[in-house]
Amino acid sequence: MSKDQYSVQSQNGFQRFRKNGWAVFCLSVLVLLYGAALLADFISPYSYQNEDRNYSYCPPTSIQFHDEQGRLRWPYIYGFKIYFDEYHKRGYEINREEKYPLKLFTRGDPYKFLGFLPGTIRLFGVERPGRLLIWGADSRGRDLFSRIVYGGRISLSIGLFGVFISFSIGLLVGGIAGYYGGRVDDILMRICEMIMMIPGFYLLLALRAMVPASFNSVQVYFSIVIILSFIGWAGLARIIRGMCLSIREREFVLAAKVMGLSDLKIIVRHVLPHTLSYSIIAIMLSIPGYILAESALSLIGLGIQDPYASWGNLLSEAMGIIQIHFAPWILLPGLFIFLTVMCFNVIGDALRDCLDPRFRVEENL
Amino acid sequence: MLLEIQKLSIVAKTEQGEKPIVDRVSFQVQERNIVALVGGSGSGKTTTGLAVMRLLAPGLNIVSGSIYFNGKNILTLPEQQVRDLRGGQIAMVFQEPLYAFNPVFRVGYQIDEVLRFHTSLTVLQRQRRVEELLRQVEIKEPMRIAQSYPHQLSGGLRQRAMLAQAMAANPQLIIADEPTSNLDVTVQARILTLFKKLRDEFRLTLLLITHDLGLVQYLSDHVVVLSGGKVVEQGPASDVLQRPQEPYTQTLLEALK
Repeated sequence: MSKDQYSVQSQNGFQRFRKNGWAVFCLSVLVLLYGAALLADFISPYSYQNEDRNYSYCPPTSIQFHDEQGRLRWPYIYGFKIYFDEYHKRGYEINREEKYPLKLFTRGDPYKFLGFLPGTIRLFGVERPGRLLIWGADSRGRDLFSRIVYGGRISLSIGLFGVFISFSIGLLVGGIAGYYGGRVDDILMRICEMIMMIPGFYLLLALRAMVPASFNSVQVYFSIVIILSFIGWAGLARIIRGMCLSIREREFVLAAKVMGLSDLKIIVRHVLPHTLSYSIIAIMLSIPGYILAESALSLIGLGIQDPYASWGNLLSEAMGIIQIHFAPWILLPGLFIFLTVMCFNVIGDALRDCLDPRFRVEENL
Repeated sequence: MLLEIQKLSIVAKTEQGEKPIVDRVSFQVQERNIVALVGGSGSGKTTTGLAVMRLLAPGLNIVSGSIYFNGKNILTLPEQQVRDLRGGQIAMVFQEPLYAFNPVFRVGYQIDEVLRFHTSLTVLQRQRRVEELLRQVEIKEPMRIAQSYPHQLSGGLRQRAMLAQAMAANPQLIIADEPTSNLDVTVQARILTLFKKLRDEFRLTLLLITHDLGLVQYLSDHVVVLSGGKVVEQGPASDVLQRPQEPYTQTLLEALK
């Protein structure tokens, strides 16, 4: 055994994670995405509802760095001239007469940062009547870049909340079933199986149908979170239950009883922490499921409703061949869904490599 | 009388029917005494110890008898009150602290846990108490040990920490289940001296479960010899060890020589 190998094995899980460059890259992508979603008000040039029907499906604006003489200039954009062709189809032509310099920390649509701090300063933008559409516009002339950044708030947070709720339920139910065993175990596991028996997507649709149409957007958001987590906990509970069955036989559980702890406290404080390395991996690998499920619901129009943006309902505009043909940029939200899901999976796999001894990759063989 | 066990019978349910594990065992533990429960493997001594905690493994049932602790019958108390007794007034030291400590938490945290549930001390007071407890069991660097995980400590240190945990809430009775049998001889000797010091200093009442008569000789005031779930002989330590009446006790003593 070389000295190197010894040093690799003596590292703890997170040190080993750091060595996995691909996973660290994905982690930074996610940090970037979540950061952007959090600061959406500041980063996006427009509010998610700022629409201008004159710019319906307007193509992406290209930012100019050189003037007509080829000299380097402060970045600016040209305005658009709108025309209608012989089929009365709307077209856009660059209007070189109109120039709008890019402005940093400019005044834009008002917002309330984190829900209570009012502000109007946005990272970049252009003076009206210029319209900065770096990734194009949707059917109602809303800036797709802004909508994607705002949509990230819903799409990215729904995974976290969903996982939080379903893992709380799953860990608790699995812990109780495994710790008590016997009849409690039987009943809880049969309930889990009943939930797992129904195909997930249909259960999702059925539960969504039960949510009143009169709900406002916040209520819809939380009902979607709750529906998603209601479906997600059962599989986890079964695995945790299996682990707890063996953990409860260990002597420190008896020692905890001797200490006078109640059963629930023993489950939460002494038994469940032993499932942590599995749970962390499972959390990472199941977040994409929630993001995809929300996107699927929103894509078919049952999720987040216009004017609120989520990557799923942004993508629902791209359901016709005409739209994709004439405005391919409306597929961009799909790229973000893909990116996020891939990053979570890569990180989950990397965590499994470094936390789970059964899947440990021998690095210096 | 602190602890009084009267005609305690415990049976195990097996496919062949009920098998007696503990058979009409009676003995008493006086305050500030060390009582040794002696016997070979399978003599029912650990089961008796766990019965006092009312923590028998599933499948084991108490069929008759009573266990009085401070005049109250533990076997008829509601669960909540038994839970307050455990760790608060009756504590337990295990044979192998490596398994009895939860491997994922620091030792100090686990000692603190007893204080959290059985005392109303503030965070700072508890911290000081943990340090004090670790000093009492003669650990030289209490803060460093408190910050360690169980697997990072040596067997002797672990057993001391376990003892500190048991003493945390000032229990009236400590049940020690083979506290020295997993330690090597030199460490055993030091733990024994510690037990003796603690007995003199803090007037511990100890129910010592062991098969090691050397330990019994050194520490205990009263001896109860168990064999096959029955009490074969009991009496003051000096009497039983010097002038054993029963052949079983004699064999045990023979083995020591």
